[in-house]
Amino acid sequence: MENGNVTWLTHLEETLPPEGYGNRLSMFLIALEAWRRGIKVNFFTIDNPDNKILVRYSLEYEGKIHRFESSRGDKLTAEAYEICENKHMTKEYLAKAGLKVPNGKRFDITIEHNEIVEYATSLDFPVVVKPLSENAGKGVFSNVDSNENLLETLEYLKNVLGYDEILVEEYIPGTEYRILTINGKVYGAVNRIPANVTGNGTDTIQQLIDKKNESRRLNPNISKKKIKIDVEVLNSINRMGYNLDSIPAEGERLFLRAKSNVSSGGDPVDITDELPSAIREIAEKAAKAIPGLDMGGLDIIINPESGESTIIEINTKPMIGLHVFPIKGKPRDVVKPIVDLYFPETKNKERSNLYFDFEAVLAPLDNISVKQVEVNPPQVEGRLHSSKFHIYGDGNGVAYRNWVRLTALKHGIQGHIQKISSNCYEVIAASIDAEVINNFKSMCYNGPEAFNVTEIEDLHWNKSVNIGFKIKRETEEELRLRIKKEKEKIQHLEEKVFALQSQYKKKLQTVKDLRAGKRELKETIKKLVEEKQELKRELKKKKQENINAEAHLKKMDQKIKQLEQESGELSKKYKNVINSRSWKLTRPLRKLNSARDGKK
Amino acid sequence: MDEIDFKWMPHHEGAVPPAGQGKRISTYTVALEAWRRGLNVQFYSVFDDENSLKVRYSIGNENRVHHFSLSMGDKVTQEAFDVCANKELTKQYLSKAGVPVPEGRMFNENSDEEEIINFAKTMRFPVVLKPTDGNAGKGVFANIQSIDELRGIIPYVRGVLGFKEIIVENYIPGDEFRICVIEDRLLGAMNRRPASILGDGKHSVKQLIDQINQIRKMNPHLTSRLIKKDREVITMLERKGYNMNSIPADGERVFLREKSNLSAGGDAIDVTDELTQNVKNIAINAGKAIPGLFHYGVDMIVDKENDTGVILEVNARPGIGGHLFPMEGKPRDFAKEIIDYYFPETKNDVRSWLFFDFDTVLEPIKNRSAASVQLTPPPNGNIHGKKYIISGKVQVVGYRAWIKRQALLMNLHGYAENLDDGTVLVVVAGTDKEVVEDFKSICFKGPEKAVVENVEQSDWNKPVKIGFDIIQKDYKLTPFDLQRAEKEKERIVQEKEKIEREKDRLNKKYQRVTTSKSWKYTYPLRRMIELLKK
Repeated sequence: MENGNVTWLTHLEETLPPEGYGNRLSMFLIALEAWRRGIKVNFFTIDNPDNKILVRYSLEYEGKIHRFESSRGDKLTAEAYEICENKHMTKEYLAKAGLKVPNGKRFDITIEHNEIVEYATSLDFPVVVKPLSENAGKGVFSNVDSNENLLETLEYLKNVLGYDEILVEEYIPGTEYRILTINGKVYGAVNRIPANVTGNGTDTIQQLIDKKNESRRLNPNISKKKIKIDVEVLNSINRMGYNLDSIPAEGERLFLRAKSNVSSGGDPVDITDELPSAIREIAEKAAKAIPGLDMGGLDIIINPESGESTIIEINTKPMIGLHVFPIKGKPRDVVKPIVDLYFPETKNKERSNLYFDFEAVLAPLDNISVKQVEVNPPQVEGRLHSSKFHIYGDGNGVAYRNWVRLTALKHGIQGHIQKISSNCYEVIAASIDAEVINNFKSMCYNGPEAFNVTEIEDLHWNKSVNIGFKIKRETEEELRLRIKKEKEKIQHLEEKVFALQSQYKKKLQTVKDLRAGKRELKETIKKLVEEKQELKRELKKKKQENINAEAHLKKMDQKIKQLEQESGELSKKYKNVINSRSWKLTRPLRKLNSARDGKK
Repeated sequence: MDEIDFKWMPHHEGAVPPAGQGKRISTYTVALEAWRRGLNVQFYSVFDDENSLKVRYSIGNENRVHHFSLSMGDKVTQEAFDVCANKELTKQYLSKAGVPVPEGRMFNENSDEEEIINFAKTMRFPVVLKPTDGNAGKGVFANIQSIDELRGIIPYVRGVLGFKEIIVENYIPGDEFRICVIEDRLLGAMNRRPASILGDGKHSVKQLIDQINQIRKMNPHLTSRLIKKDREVITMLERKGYNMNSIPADGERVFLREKSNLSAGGDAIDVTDELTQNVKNIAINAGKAIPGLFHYGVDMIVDKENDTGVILEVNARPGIGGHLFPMEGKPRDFAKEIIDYYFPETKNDVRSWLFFDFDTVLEPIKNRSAASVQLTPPPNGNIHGKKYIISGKVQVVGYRAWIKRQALLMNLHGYAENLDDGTVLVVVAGTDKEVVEDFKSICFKGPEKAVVENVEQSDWNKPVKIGFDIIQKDYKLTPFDLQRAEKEKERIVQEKEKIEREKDRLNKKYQRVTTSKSWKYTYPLRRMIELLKK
């Protein structure tokens, strides 16, 4: 439900851009349906005191003309219009037919407010306060819950919004449905869920609203109907105890408004098939209760418990897109019965698969230059054969595209050619005769001299085709987007290249470093080897020295022996001396000498 | 060279939108004249046998409606149109009525080359060879000097260009004039001069061409018909001993091409005052000779010496752009003449100073979405204009959008534009002088967010487009911008490819390095270093 993507009715695919045509969607849908049946379509502007550009259109078939304003056609009688414009009167008519409507009363707010407060109190709060005649939920306050709130609302309605007459009604709880009746029969029902977001546990409420609005952009019916963050939304958020920066839990659904109008951000969900037959009957009864109502959008509230339904109001210019492009559920072709109602004689006509350029048709009306535009009718009735193919080739592409266009036009072929890449062109071609398309294809293959076609690839096409033959260029936005994307891609690539370059440089540096390291190591090894040799040499020297030393030691030992021998001989000689007579005889002399020495 | 004065009629200044320039100038200016008088104008499309689209328009006053095709209205009968479309038939009608035409003969596809050559042998040379139904000088060979030259040209015109019916006639020297006539009244005459520049003794050939092109850009009839500096021009200059940088003497006219076609850079020159009564009479008699031709243009070679001329061609729907926007001489308002002729009752009506946006009007017709569009008539009465320049905090505050709403509410037309100096330019025009002047106070007020400091006012006397435009230089993409964007895109794509190639190259190099022997062998070392790093 968070996704604004829609299921497209096959016959509408391609005919309008995903962003739709804003408030002109109903106008486009009805005009296109009529045009496709061969009904003449005229768009024109009407004079008005505010000099606003108000575009209306007329449909004409075999002399019969009907005028339309958006989805409201001239079969709607003045009486029915008047009844539905006045919400009080609507209720009177419905009540008379035995249908349940909310209790309420109309007041003139330019006079006293006391009476209103009194009445509201008698109804029980909350109450609903709304302008007597207004569309699209404007000025509707559906949850006025106190006296103060009521007074404030009344002041606001009177002074800021400038309304005179209002309705005060009881508040009916339940689910709100929009039911479309055409000629008293129900053709579509949607449940309008008030503006809401569902939390995901990471985004703030502000972000959730932004995302939701972004997803709505791709639904033609609601692309411009965003959830605006206004007082009401802020109040609802506050009441839940949140602010815009709060992050709701995953799966938590927050309702931001009480009213469910799609124009204030509500989600339309188709429930036509599930609509209980009792409610269907009530809706049809209600539609018939308003005399002269050709088509109406009924707002009905259904109490989920009792199943009781209350009709709130009837819209005579209902939003058609609600049913054609629901946000969920089955899309309903409610346009066909509308055109059937106005031009029953065209009911069984096969609808053309062509469409016209709505934007170009309306542009001169919008800039005041033109008062009326008559749309060029499709030349042939019914569906055309259509084909899509890709042309590959090279040469002067501009000349080729022009040539293809002229050739197509010459043979009554509608469609477009668009360059989709530097050597590929996409062609959509439609013609009453499939053979003509085949011939055209071979003509494209041969082409003018300035362009050389290498291949044509056949593709399937069963979507709609524009009238005339266009050289399609991307729209401004598409072009901008594409250039932006290309630029991003380039930037990304540049970054990648840069990263690779620096990586490469780094590796290169490492290699260099390693090479240097290797060289250094070699150097060291060389040095070490030298050192070793040096040491070896030294060792050799030392060994030599060692040998020398040992020799020396031996010599020494011999010398010692010799000396020991010598000393033995000397001791013998000494004994001999002592034991000799002369030594004994000289003893007293020596004794004297030593005593003298002792005295000293 | 930025500001060039608009040298044509003031009610056309800035009043010709791109779609009305060039080939649709007759259609636009005639329709504009009618619209400005409050006549009901409707554009619609018709398709020819080839299914190609032609824009036609109708002008109505109350219940009387006239249909137009270019400058031709429905008073000219189909018969007259058919006669004019066939050069040989035209000649027969003219010579029967005693209007001078060149001598010569038509040959249809049954005549072979020899027959033509034999006939040419009986003629005085030089001769002209042209197709009977060619347009805008296509396939016309003037001043053929000899039989041999003719022999070379015939197969080209009949074979390559594919014109089967051709005329061989006497070549008459003199100036070729285009003269426009409505019944008995001669409206004016113009002469076409091949692309040329006028030396001033100061500027180079290149500079003079650029100057001329600046003026041509201003000329709604010639906007896209500039003088290209192509091979032909360079050859022509060389033949005279010039090149792009030569500086021609003061007063010297240097011709750049032989052909005088406007699309090849030729100039339209008003020569109405050069016509003598005799010449005028020939032009007027030409119309009388063809029943049902009430207004037309003739191509005439004027022999000034003998005060006479011959009619080469009669055009039922002559282009009037050259007369309205001549490069020299007085501009002549043929659009006014045509409307005066069809709707004489509006002759003295006030002509509104507004114009309509032909581009958006034509777009749905051109893209075949619309069968017809009916213009919104301009408001009755004289238009008063004012220009306001608003300074203060006025940009990016929604000032212009606010001004637009106010202007539309008050029935004022004009535009608002952000100027580079931060001010906003507002031009408003409307029928109520007071409202236009009081708009100054509105400019002063501005939207809530704006802070207006000053409003400068001046008169605005130029035409104003109906409606109110916010001029957004950045957002309005013209086909030219799109082309530029496309080129830019192509450039980017090429750049992308280049970068991708570069990436590949680097990738390969990287691969090579990583698989190289030295890299592998040094693995243990690197491993060691990494371990060391840890």
